[in-house]
Amino acid sequence: MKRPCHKTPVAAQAFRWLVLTLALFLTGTGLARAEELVVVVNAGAPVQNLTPKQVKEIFLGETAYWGDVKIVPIGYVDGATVQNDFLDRVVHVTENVYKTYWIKRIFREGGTPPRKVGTAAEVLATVGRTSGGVGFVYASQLGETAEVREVLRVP
Amino acid sequence: MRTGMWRAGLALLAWLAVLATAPGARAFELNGFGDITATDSEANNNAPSNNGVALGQLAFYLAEQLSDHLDVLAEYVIESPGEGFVVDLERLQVGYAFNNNHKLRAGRFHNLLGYWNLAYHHGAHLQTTIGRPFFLEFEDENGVIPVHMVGLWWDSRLNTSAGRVSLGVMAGNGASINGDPTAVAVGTVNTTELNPDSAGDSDNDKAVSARLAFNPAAVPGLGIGISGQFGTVNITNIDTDADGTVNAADQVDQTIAVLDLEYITDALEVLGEYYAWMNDSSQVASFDDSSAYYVQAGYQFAHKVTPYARYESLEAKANDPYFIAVGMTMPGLDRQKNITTVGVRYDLHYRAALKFEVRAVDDDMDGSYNEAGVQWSFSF
Repeated sequence: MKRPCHKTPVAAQAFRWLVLTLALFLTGTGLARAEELVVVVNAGAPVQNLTPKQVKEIFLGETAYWGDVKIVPIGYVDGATVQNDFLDRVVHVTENVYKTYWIKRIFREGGTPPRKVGTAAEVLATVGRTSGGVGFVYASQLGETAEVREVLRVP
Repeated sequence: MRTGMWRAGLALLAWLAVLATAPGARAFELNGFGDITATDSEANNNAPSNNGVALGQLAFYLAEQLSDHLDVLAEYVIESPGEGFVVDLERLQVGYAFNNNHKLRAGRFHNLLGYWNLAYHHGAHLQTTIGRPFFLEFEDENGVIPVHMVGLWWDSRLNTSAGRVSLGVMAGNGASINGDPTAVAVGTVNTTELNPDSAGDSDNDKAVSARLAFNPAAVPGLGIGISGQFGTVNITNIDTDADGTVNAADQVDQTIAVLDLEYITDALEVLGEYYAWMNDSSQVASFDDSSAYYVQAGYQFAHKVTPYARYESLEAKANDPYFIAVGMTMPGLDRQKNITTVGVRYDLHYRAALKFEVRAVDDDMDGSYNEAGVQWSFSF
């Protein structure tokens, strides 16, 4: 037999506050992550779309060419929020793990890690003037430019 | 001589620094590894490294993309052989990438044998433990495999739904071992090191090494590889047949076969390699094959603390002329050497770590003894 609930008014009010606080926290977290990341390539790049896996492989140096075109990934200076967001959502590693990965890779195989710039505007400008350039910005930072082309959105 | 090499190394670094900061200079990063290691050993072999603090190898390496398809990698190591410092050009390679899957390199490389040699090599900070398995030591530190090769390196890979298949093939100068008849007494342990013949081949027989590896997609972090080397080792002025006189020349046709297995995740590391040497001498009629292996495991807690353990073992067969020539055994001695290591690594930062370990050594030639070591390793 189902027993009736006998919460006291004080307990019920506390419970409602708890639920409300949790909801606000979760909503806030959701809002913070709501900003989409947009992956862009040089307008002349021979690709129309990229999958998250393909973008991950590019920023890990596993994929370095589109046909005969050398891919040039562009990242941000250490500690940039958008960089850490990208590493978390696309590469699925922390910044330190990512940097350690590149130390090992360069030592073992040679090659060069993604170039580092300071701002979204610099990413867009560098990708725009670099054949094979690939970068990422928040959706609100994208703006209108003919030199780059959007190939992926990451929620 | 060593002072001169030291100055040459400093001059090289100064030149690189100027090059990197010059207006309009191409951008490249000069990176490196280093370590300071303290050891307390009960070994009774009077080695200066038994007790005290030693500077480890200071390795500088730089990689540069010269064009869309061309790249170059150079690595210098400054180290102390016990007195003063020397500068060694460890690697110099230029590569041409045809596409994502095929690349050709020329120069001096880390040999493709096994996993450890390519993965860690001079990067003490990259490896969990303080040192390499003893049978994988460098040629100038009583190593028994040619850890370097000079020649060509073809590298291919194939990505399939089942996983990644990688194939590397190297061809280059065969190694040699050149004894000094005036310095080495017949019937004692030879102290001459294995020479990868970087400045030219001392014989006309080239060495070929290859490694085939598979990383299954279903088990991320798992890798299995088989590798080997075929070549002729030219040995001069060493009593390889143990008849009491130095042989002017002995040619050992050598096959090294290696099986490696590794499972590496964010926290767990399990490594294992098995080596077998099949040597065919022009001076010694018959002897058994020598072999070695290690297994190592570690688990990292909270991205900082990694307890680890390793067991390594080598069996150098009596009368194996190659192992006599590299000084790993002496005539008539089936040498078995085992080392059990237990330690803990503490990562202060992703570029610096402290390692503490104890080792129990059981050796037919040097006896049984214990060691303790502390290392501060770093990268920059």
